[in-house]
Amino acid sequence: MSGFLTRTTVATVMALLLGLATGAMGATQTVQFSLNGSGALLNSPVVFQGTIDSGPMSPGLFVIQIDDAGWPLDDPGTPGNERWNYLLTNFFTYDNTAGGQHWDGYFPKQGTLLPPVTWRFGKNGDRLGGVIRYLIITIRDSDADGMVDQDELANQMVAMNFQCHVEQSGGAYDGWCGAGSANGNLEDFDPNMDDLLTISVGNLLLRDFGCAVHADAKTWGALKQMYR
Amino acid sequence: MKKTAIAVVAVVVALTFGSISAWGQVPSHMVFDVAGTFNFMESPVLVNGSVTAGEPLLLGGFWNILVDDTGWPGDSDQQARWDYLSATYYEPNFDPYSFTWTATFDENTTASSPQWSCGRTGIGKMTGTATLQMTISDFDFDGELDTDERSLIVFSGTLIVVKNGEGVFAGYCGLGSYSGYSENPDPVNFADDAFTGSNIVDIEDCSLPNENVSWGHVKAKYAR
Repeated sequence: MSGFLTRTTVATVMALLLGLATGAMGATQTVQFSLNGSGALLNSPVVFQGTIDSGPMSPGLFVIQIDDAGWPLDDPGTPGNERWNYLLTNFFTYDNTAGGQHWDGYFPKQGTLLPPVTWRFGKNGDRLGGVIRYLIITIRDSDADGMVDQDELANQMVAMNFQCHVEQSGGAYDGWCGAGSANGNLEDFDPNMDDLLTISVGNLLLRDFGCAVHADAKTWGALKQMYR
Repeated sequence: MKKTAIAVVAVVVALTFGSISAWGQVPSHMVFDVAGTFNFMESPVLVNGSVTAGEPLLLGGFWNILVDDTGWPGDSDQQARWDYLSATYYEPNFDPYSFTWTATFDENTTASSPQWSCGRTGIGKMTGTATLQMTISDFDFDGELDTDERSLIVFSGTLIVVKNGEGVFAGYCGLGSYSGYSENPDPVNFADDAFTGSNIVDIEDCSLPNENVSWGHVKAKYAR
């Protein structure tokens, strides 16, 4: 698509802003991407992975992981779906707007940092990665019965904001950091199979300056330790 | 007998081509780009955009999100309004590990769900609710949301299309998602943010029985 026409302007704004903030000027770039992969919240660990199908990181691979520490597994000896019920109770809220009933799920949980959602892109040694806050999953309650039916899981919508950590960048992106956003859908036609994740459009606004982690800031390693 | 057969054939042909025409007129999957402006310092809060590329049915049309600002300070004192917005939506959502603030606007955080609408004059309109999340980066890593840091925001969200559309979208419902970013040339004076982004919308004719809609959706997915 050709909609991101102000990319150069944004880059200029970012460069000026960061130049003022850091006393340094550097380069910026926008990494556009689309993703196709699979995964499921019901799996442990929760990993969505697949291919990067467009943009400078294509053909590459992506991984989006949600830390499921503390989430229950389904007990095969019972008819209930303990894990799904746990997720629905703890991460999703129901919007009862007439005619638009749906559930919105936030990962991490809205207003918190847990569970951490991490992402990584890779292509021939070029690497980008960081955290997602938030990964939003929306399920439409098409029959407005307050129950999540299988056919309602067949087309869920997803949106996410990315943070690109300099510690995770490598190869051609060594020293780069930034932020971004993406959207797409998640299709679950069969509860016994992985969901299909399609990110139609995503953009990372990257810079190669002002990425140094503040002395008081936690490092990526510290972050991981914190969540263990 | 012959007349009856001709009549039956005519009805079948009419129904067939009628269905094809209707299906072709309103795609079940739409992808398009949007651009426009917003200013959360002004009431009402309207993310006011237009469709700039993609789906021909919507090209040149409008794309809006109205955020319910009930309970917020009025827009006569923009600094007070920003202070409220920052204290209520951004600062409680600071991520000390990526040095960002993420504000969420949805049924949990605003008096009513954000209202979304999209369409084109003479064609029709879709309406519904939305989630909206906006992330600001702490460029100088000081944990303070500085004025100049409001110059760049990344955003994304999801949409519900309610069955109260107009024109060709009458009777349709569904859902969608969007993402993009915005820039503000003069955050000191609370200028408008200019945004650009991309949107997908999946809709189906909700006047049909559920099983037909579901089957049509599955077929449409695999036909892409």
